[in-house]
Amino acid sequence: MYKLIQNVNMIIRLSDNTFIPVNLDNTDYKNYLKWLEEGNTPEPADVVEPATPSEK
Amino acid sequence: MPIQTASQAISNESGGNSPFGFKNRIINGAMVIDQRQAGSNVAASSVSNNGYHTADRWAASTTQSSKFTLQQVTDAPAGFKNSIKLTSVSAYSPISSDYFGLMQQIEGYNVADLDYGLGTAKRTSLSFWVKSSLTGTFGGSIYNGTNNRSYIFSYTVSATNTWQYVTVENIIGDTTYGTNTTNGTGLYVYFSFGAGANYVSTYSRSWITATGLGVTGQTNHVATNGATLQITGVQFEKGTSATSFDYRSYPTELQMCQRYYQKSYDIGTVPATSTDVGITVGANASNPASSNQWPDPIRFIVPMRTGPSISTWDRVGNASKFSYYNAGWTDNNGTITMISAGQNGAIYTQGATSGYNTCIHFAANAEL
Repeated sequence: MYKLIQNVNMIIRLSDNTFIPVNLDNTDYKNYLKWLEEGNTPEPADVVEPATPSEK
Repeated sequence: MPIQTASQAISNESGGNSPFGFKNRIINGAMVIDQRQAGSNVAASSVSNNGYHTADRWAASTTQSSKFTLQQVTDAPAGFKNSIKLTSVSAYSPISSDYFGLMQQIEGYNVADLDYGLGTAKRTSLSFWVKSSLTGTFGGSIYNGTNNRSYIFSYTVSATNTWQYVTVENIIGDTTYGTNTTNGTGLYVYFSFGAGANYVSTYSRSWITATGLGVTGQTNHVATNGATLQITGVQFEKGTSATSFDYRSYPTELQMCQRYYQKSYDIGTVPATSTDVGITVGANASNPASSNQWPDPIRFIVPMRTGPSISTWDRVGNASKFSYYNAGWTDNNGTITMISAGQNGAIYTQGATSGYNTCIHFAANAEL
């Protein structure tokens, strides 16, 4: 099972909380694509509101 | 630096052994480095971690979970200190579609000079030490990165529990099919622990168009509960004959491994162990005014094969959490979210409002 992340090119493998880059050379990402081809769907990304610049 | 003579250069072109440079294409062939497990015994699984459970660069290959375990052990032949030990944990008879084994994927860059797929394809030799609790004929193979061409080999063990040196020499180069020559899988080197009919073939001293992983008629360790197979001193080299093991310095071997896997913990510390030793400290304090945080960096020790998958822990081993220090440790804060990961580093956010520097451990995996 996987979960998307808002606005970044990474996904999360939920079984071990591993972050996987969207990168066709990455073995875990290739496994994710196979998982999608099998008809599975990742969990949607959490919605995170941006911080305002004045908070920095 | 020694100067190569013309005759040596000619010898190399025709497939002769080279005494220069990167002789052994296997990384961690002496099984010395075990960053993931530090010598712990683990069950083989092809699902979790893509089979990487034991000494660096070596992976379990299996179609059935929990049929054998892998462990870096200190039992080794003279001249070596470690081996990988595979132990069967049941008496399982492989069905035709099964395979079990230990393998290393050699990156394409490291076999590009073998000229596979060309008329100039080079001859190679494989050598290794083996110790088996069973006698009989056993098998393995070398196969290409696209899994469609294999060179099956076999070897015979006539004495149980005795270290034995095996050579598979004068392996012809595959002139028919090429393979990856960049950062993908160039070649697999595979030692079978058991295989079904679909994955065995005869030892023909030639490349076959199939994914062959063992030899017809081989003894399958997985069929005997408690059977063991130990391997070390693995060398795959260009040339028509096997030569002495290419004993590289420990720092060199470690850095070669870190191209594929590295971590913030000390080398002998298993990830998720509770320790502050080696923990990374973020460049920015987490934002006290908001849980939407500024990014912090991780820089890698050596550039990785590709952008890696990353797991993180706080000081005490909580996944995707961070610790901070203010006259004492506070753990289990926030939620780490990676933003990007490349060959040289990664960045992440913390998702908390502590206002202190973020401290996390990480493991980065760019294995093939």
